[in-house]
Amino acid sequence: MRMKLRWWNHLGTIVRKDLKVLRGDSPIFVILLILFPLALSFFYSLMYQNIMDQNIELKGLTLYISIDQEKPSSHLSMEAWAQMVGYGSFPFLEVVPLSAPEGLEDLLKEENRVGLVVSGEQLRWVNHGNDTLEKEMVLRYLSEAVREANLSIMLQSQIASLSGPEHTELYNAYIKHSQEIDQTSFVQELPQMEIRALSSREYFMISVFVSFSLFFSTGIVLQREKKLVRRAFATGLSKRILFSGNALTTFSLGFLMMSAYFLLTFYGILQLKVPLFPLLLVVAMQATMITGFHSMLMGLCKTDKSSTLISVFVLMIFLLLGGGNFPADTFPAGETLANVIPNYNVSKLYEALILEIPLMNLLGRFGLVLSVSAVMGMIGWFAFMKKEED
Amino acid sequence: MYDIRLQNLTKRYDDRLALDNVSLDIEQGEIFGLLGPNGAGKTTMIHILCGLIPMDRGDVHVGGTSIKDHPEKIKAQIGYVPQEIVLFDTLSVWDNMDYFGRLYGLRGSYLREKIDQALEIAGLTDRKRQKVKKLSGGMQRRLNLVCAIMHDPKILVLDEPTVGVDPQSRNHILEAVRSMNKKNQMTVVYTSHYMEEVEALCDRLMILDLGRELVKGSKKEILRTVTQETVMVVRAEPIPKELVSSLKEIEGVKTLSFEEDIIRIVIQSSDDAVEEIIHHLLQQPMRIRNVTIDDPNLETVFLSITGKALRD
Repeated sequence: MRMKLRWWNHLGTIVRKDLKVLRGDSPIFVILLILFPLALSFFYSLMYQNIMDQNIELKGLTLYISIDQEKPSSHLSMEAWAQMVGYGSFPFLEVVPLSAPEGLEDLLKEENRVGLVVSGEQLRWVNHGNDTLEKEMVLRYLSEAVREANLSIMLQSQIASLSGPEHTELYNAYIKHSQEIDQTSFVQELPQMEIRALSSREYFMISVFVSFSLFFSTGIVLQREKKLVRRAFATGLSKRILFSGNALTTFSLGFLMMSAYFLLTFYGILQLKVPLFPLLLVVAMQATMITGFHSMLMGLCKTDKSSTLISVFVLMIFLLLGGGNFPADTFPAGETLANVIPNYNVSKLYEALILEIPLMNLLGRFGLVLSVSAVMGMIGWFAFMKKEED
Repeated sequence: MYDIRLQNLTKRYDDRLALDNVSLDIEQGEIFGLLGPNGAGKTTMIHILCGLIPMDRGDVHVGGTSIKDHPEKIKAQIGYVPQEIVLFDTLSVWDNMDYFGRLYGLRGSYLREKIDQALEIAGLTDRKRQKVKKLSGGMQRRLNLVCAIMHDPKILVLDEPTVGVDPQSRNHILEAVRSMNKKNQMTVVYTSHYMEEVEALCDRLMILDLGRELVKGSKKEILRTVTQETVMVVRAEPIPKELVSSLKEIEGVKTLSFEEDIIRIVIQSSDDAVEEIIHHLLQQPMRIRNVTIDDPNLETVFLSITGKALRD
């Protein structure tokens, strides 16, 4: 009983002291962990909107069609060819029929001009300029149209080659089928699909902060470097209590700081109607991740410099692979990788709150964050117990 | 009746032997000094005594209890003052004392009372709300000391507590240690490489070098080993390279050390030797600035045993 009381007293002493130390550093924490991520998320969301919402303007394209009079196409007139290349379907396209292929080469010297030469059953696409989006669109459309036309011609030829009653029967069936196709509406009215996704602002306000919260620290590594930890041990404080006390402080103060941020952003800036209890649950997950990370630093780092270097390195991973500074789920490969990075999973939990997805559907993400945090914590624990003996 | 017993302490850091089979008994109420140059093993010995690092071999007993069996019990009886100023510099004087006091298990009005007493000893009562980083180096040293005595420890361990301290604060610290020792019969273990401090403060002492015990006992006992010796300190420039070897050939010269423009010569008491050395020095192509002949002291002992000065 006395031991338990002592344990709690010591734990309370450590938390109390850390609160006092952090109170002295509170302006730095507010700037680094709240104002800076907010500013950065505004910047990222503006930048991302500018990149993704760009208009594509199609430039005018002139298509010259020339039919070799010596070898005219047996099936299609010039008008039919003009229709085939989608004239009227492409507002940017102008089709100019040529009476003869001579002079075509001269016309095609200018950019945004292409030629189509029909010689018997052969088609030749002539382009002397650069490949452009407009040319690519017309060529693809033409290729599809020619393929469809060839199929139709082949069918008609086969019907024409037949004789007798089979011919009449097949011909009538063909005509009937064509009429049916003609009368059928191939455009279906589908119910409107709602794509639920975060706005750029919402996305970055979550992801940037989740990444930068890595820098939340009680300064235990600096205390170790300044030999304050050793002095504390000289008072009879055990390593277990010191480690647990710091983990508890990191969790509690981290939870408070992160709650403050999300209450400000969700209810204040973004005006979202997110339920409070699930929000605090997700904040607790984030605080757990930070506690695991800092426990690992507490065990592995002897100097504040090495701790900062590792934090910056992990921040880079969080930003680049965990979608901290870009929406990782826009790239399939990126998302696969991000799924194992804890900050991405924490961000997804916040995202679920905004999109009203039940958190029960995301148990896998909860599990991953908890597992990674536990592994980091264990590494820190064993390293701390070993290192402080030297 | 001994209060502290260190038995055959051995500690190795990688390939360096920091302590080599050192044994020591310290009596209750005694001020015991550990003297030695940097790297002698004083701090390692203190860290083992305070249960901060494990020993490779040997044992530590405090009041008959082994540190291996009851480290927490022993730690509770010791007040440890580290070599560096180990305080939270962004916290106030009071908050630092409150933190360490609580770690020692003090609470409530008793803690406040103890903080007030400690502030008085440190002469910092009127600065208790000031942040540590705003205090002078001497004040920080005093606070560093009193943070270790709030729980009225039976044993006070001070690891070079006066490094980089102005004379006024140094005297304050030494006086405080003396007073606590007298008033509370507190056993004090004091390490320093300042010979004068150890000579003035300690009842008994041990001189260490390179992890080994060179000599231990009371100051009188130690000096008795070198009463036949005197130290001649010569300040001159430029000192010819061959002078050191030529001095060694003079009869009566036991050891000598050489440092920039100073030569320290340990001479077996003999007027002839002194005369011959002076005669030899005068023949050298150098300008002699000063020659002193000191009575034997702890520095002489160290020089006599190791052939080097304490602060080398």
